[in-house]
Amino acid sequence: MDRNRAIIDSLLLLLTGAAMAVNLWLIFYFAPLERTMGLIQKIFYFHVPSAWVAFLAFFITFLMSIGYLASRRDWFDRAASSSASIGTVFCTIVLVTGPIWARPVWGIWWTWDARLTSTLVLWFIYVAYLLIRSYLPASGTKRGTLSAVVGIIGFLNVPLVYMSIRWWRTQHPQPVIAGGEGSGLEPRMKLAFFFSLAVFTLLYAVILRYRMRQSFIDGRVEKLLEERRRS
Amino acid sequence: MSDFSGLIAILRKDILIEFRTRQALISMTLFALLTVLLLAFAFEPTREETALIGPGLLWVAFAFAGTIGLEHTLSTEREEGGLEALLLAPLDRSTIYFAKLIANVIFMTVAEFLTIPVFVVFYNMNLIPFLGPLLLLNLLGTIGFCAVGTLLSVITAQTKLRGVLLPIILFPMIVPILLAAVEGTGALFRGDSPVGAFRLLIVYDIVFVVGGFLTFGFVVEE
Repeated sequence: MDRNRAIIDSLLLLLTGAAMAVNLWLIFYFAPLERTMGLIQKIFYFHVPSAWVAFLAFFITFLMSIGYLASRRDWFDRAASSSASIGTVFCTIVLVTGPIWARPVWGIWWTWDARLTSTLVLWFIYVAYLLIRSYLPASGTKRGTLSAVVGIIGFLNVPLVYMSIRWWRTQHPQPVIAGGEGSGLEPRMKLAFFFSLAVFTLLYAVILRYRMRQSFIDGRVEKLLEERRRS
Repeated sequence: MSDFSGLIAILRKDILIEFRTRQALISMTLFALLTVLLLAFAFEPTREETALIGPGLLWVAFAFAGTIGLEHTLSTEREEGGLEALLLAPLDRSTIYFAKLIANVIFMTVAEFLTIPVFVVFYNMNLIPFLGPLLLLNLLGTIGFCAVGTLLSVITAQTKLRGVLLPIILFPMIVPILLAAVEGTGALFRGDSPVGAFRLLIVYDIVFVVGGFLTFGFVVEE
């Protein structure tokens, strides 16, 4: 069984590595240069897929948290927390690449727009989730239960944040920001974009697989330490 | 014991303790007043500027004071196993949640009502024309704040760092409430209609109270 897993692992890594290389080629050579924004537009192929992965990861955390509260199976807790940590990393990438793109294109690093603000709030919520989790006792069900509650209400909070900022913005009109990027994308750009989206999703799945395995090993180490402390 | 009389009993106990010690109220009110004072020093606003930054300033003070209050109500329960005893009572967990929520709302509202007159004096604001809607708005914002806060304070109290983590998770969670409350207060200061803010606050209050009610049972289990 271990041998089968090793084969699947190497195949997955090979596939992901190759797909990422192809992705870079598609982004930098295949997709044409955007007319007004130029090279800086390339960041879009990293920024949007990272955002998609972050939201997907937090959504998985939300689902797994519900699963944990319903079943109390350790697996759900480890899936939820692993996904949350990956989501936080990708959310950080979104928050870093966004301003790098915005500075030359919008002329400002940051604006308190609904999407930007809710992403930032999301980042804070999941950093807090990971922090709270790290200060809870690993033995017993307490860590899993409390993390699950934070994972659920944290995710439910996001649409409320989005709604309130949109409402706030309609009260205070701001300068119009660049229109929807998805509208009328050049076919080669579209291909590169959707390929990138798929590659990032694959990357997420692969990291999740390793992160969960690591989490189970963590659990085993904690258990051994616990036994040693008792004896 | 019916759930309602249980709720009243817990509430009565909390209010009695507070009435005798006055710990939470004094520390919350002083903290809110000091925040107002510090921000007045930091910004030195003119009358026009006060109308602009006043709502945000008030709510920052309330949020800080509220955090202190939430930590306090829980730390008194923690001493000598008060919470365990409470959980042993033949009551539904949601009853305990509602009792704690109402107690927190009462303490925080009193602290707010003591802070507002001082704000009026320090910043030369005339709040009399819209005092009614302002107090109602405060109450709605406070209910939402405490609905999330009561739940989260019980969670963070079980971590090794105790109350230190509470503001770190509480503040991002109350962003929507804070925004609606600040915007509503701002509308009142400018003489606009605050109906939109009221409506949003009511929606948030319902969402957060129901969310707290559904999950509280999980966070107090042993």
